[in-house]
Amino acid sequence: MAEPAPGVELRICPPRGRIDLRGDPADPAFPTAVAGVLGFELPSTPNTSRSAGAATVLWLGPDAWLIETERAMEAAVAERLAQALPDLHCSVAAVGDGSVAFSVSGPRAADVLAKGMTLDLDPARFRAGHCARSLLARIPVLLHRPGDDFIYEVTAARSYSEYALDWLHDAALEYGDAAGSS
Amino acid sequence: MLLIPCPWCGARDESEFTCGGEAHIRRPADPDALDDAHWADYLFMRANPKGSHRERWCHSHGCGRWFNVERDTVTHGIVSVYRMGEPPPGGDGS
Amino acid sequence: MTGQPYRLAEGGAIDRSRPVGFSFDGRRYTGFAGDTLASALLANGVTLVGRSFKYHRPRGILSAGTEEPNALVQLGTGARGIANAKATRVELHEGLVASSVNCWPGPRCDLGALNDLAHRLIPAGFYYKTFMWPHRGWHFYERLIRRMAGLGRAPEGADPDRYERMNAHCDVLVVGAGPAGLAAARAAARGGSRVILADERGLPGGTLPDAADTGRLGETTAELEDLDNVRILVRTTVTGYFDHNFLIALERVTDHLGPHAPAHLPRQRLWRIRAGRVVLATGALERPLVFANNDRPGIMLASAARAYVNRFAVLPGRRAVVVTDNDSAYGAALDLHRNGVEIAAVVDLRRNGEGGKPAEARAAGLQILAGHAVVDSRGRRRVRTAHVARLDDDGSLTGPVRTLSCDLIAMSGGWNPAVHLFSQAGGRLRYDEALRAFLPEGAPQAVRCAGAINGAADTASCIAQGRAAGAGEPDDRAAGRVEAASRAPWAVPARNRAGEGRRFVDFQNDVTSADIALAAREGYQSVEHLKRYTTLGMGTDQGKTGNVAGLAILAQTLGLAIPEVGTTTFRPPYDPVTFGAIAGRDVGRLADPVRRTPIHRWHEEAGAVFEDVGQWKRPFYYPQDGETKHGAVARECLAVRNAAGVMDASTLGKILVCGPDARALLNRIYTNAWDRLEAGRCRYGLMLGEDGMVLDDGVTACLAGNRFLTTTTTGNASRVFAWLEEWLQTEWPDLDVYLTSLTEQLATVALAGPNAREILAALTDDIDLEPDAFPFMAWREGRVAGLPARVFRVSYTGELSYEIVVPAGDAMDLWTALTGPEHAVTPFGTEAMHVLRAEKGYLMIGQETDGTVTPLDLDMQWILSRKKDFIGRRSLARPAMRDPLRKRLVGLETGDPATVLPEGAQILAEPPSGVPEAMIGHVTSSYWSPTLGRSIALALVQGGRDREPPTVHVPLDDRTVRASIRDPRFYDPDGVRMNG
Repeated sequence: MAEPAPGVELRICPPRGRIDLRGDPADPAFPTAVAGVLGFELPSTPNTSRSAGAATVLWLGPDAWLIETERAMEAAVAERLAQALPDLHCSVAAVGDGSVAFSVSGPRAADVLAKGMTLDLDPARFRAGHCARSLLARIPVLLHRPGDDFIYEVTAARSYSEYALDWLHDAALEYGDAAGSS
Repeated sequence: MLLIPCPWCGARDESEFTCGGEAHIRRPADPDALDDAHWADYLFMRANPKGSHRERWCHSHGCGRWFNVERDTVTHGIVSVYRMGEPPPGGDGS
Repeated sequence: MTGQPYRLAEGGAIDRSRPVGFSFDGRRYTGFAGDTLASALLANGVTLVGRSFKYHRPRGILSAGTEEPNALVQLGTGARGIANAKATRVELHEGLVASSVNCWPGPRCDLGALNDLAHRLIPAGFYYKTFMWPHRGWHFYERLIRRMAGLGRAPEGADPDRYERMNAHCDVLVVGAGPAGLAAARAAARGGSRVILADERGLPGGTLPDAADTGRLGETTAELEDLDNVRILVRTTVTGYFDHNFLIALERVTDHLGPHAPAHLPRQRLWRIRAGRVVLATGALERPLVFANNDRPGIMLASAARAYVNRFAVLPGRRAVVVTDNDSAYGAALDLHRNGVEIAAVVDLRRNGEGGKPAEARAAGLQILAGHAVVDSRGRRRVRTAHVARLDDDGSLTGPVRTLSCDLIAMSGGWNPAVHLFSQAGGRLRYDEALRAFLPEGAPQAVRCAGAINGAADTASCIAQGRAAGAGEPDDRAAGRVEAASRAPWAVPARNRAGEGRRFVDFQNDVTSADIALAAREGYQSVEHLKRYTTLGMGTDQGKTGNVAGLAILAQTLGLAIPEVGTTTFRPPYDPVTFGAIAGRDVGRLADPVRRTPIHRWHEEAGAVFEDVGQWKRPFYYPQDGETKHGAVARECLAVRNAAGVMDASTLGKILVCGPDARALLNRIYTNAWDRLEAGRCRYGLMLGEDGMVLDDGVTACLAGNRFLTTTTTGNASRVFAWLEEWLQTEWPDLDVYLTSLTEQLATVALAGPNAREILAALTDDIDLEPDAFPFMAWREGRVAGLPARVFRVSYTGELSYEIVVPAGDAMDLWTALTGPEHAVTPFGTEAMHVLRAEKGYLMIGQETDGTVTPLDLDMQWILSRKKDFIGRRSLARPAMRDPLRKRLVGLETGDPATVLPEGAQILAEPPSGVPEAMIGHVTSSYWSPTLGRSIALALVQGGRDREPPTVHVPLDDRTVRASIRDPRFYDPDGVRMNG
């Protein structure tokens, strides 16, 4: 039996800006002020993301979101948010250095992830714009499927990133791992 | 391995959760008003029923929220889940 | 076909164009693709394949499947070897190497067979009874017993193969791909469900006796294979059924390929399946009959004989006696007859051998002995004769014993529905008198049973039940059941009073009907006790063939009905699972997640020795050319005390506490008060559990009015974060506070030593480092080495010290700047840090504390606010917390300054006198202090520093060390240096 055609491709995503945003969605002033800065509404459906322009917002919890931006924009977006929310009880923290994202793509991408994740990754269920915090091989991760194609983004804490990549490469061996890590 | 319906995220594997033990135990407002025996009750004594049991769980590796689970300790069937501060669906949560 | 004397010229589902060479017990044989090891051995005329566990009796092949108790083999060699593989399940591949287990030097001449001659000396419970005394003797006996028993050998060396784990979800999981399972899968799939169909065999189609029948199911299989919503897992045994329809299955991905397996594929894959619904179509397993010497090679289940002749085109013998208490064995008799096996007789235990099946057999010219039983057999390495006698109405033997020569006895003692998984699911079983079997009843989980597991005996009923179960429609569970008309005895009586000839119930564990009766007489009357005393139903087959007869014999002995005796608990796994599959890829460098700091690569290149702190890799010390640990740590300590050192403290937990009620939260969590902490200042805090025990400590800085940065110890970072969240969400939802973990976002470098200020001054131009402008326990924001940073003037070493906090992405630049040659800064690791803090008498969480230590025990009353409530405060007022005999923190000084006590050493008030002594404490931290040129130790000792006299004794392996209690602050007790 010959080696299979590459079924998975792993890449480290370029560094990106991340802002941890906490606030009360029930207080109308909060989502309004945030939408004013981002230009679009925060996703309110659990485990979904919303994206426009250079920013993507992922739902992390009922009062928690992660805003992803270009690396260079992180400080500026955080600053604008802080200014737009001066008197509200909320929390804005730049956390872009704290994690690393990997892209796992290809026809067997979901199989590689399923080796270490208990989420139901059926493409009809974990659809475009879905995200979830869960565990990958005992590491806390954030999984995001930005679009319809079979590209998944796995965001892991910086300290775990080397292990996570190592684990993903090892998991992909069976399916033929197309690209290197760098 | 239980399948726990998080009130926000839906059904997820038990490995994403932390069990916090019996639910609806309030911290006494004035601990000094309790004698040692009552304080020990609050600290240590927990129900261990056979059958329906209310526990609190945290979706610690998901949305991070604490919530309540009513679970049958015999069958491990989950009867209901409800958010913090909400009354149990069956009533009598105090 | 030469070399395969028992192979038929045609028929079967084997591929005669693909011969396969293999070896068994050192001899080379040839089989065909499609063979199992068992069928290939039978084709070659090998019937003796091993020895039994206890008596080392010669044993052959009993079955054709998973239930096999006898034909266990050692498979492969070296690190790839597998012990106790079932020859009936091993698919043949070129170059397969197998050998018998449990016999030495070999199965034909086994020294352990002496046990068989001495069997009267080895009754049930023999090991328990004999080796109880003297009580130290067991260590001696155990080695001998282990050599005699123990079946196969564990492989040696690390397993070179890969094992995978896979999580899967489906709407319907169908277990078993026989007629019922295939029908269920098709019905479910046609309804649009996501289906997983798992079967332990290499091909779907089940174990229908006729290969042609199996072929008819091929259409269904082909349809399923074409559907996107169906996943068919072959060579996959569902072994465990857990809560909420979570099941474990083991897929043997390349076991059947042996050394020819493609390298990229795992050897096995453990499936973790979450199913909406489960359909169990697991079939039924045939029971042996219990008669004297029913265990000889050449005696096998009738269904197995039929499978070998039909599916593998192998004659399991040339002259057979078929013995049965039900109709199913007639099919075997006819199939054997058709293929040229001479049928000496069909012995039917039932009085009335009438009905369709017997009539068919009679029409084919077979002799039927109704109301007869096989009562004994002869033949050492292969059965030679069967002894047959008439059974009376009351089940006793009557009349003369006839001897029939034969080389095969095909037996059927009825069928056990394979209810194992159903029972694991929490399902209730019901004993059905008419079927003489345990059947599935109600279950607390979403599970349905279909086919032979329900007692259905014909294919049409199996398919109908499968279709209904797959579609989720109602069905007739009783359809297709055939009543066991007989009241045949569970154990055929012995042929004479002496009761000679053991009647085996559990072949693998050599449990006989006499053992069961003996155990019952000795009081082991509960089925669970019986199992443990006799080992009935233990081992690699878990009593799949023998259990029900064993229970029935127990019931009979006790005069109870079978339902009153009940069954033992069915536990996972249904079939053994390799440790490799359980471990998966959690081995080697992936065994456990590893966390690395942003400066890790520098440490590595500097040759650091790492210490595991939780999952973190932290530099332990940095040995320089040939330095020992002792030398390196001493050098690092002295550098900090005399010049300056840097340490990577990025692993400390960091939590942003933010909101109008942030101070209120800190006040409730920490023992001290936070109302007056201003922006730009920091404070040390101690947090307790509600039980009053120390949980964690760390420094919290006020960043701005209601924004705080709290640090935790490395090991407790996630625990403390969760602790705060729990209180906020469950108890104090009224507090407006948000917590954000910044542990990963921020890196911390500690710069410590008398030269620290000077070095930092060279790297910053916008922070005023003058002591008045930047005092101890203050923090400032500015640029360090050109990087935006927060600098905290805190100290864990007792020296003038700054902790510089930068975003993790800048950490390497900061570290590189600090360690530049112009600064003469010494990197130091965690061990030096431990020594330095111990010299100061600072506690370390997890070292001085262990969940039983209060702040009072640590003489830290000063940090307990009297003006507010905090978590744990009330518990400190409990009388036991004020007991003067509680262990309290002290410093220890050994009489001999060169002696470094081992950490964890116990402490006595008096030198040991040889009788048991009451321990009064233990050493919590102990080091060589290079600063003081002597050993130092911290300890928890009853009475603490008030203890009189202050001398204690520490017994070690070879001597007792005297030590005296002192103030734990060994160095600079007034803190002049760090405040300077």
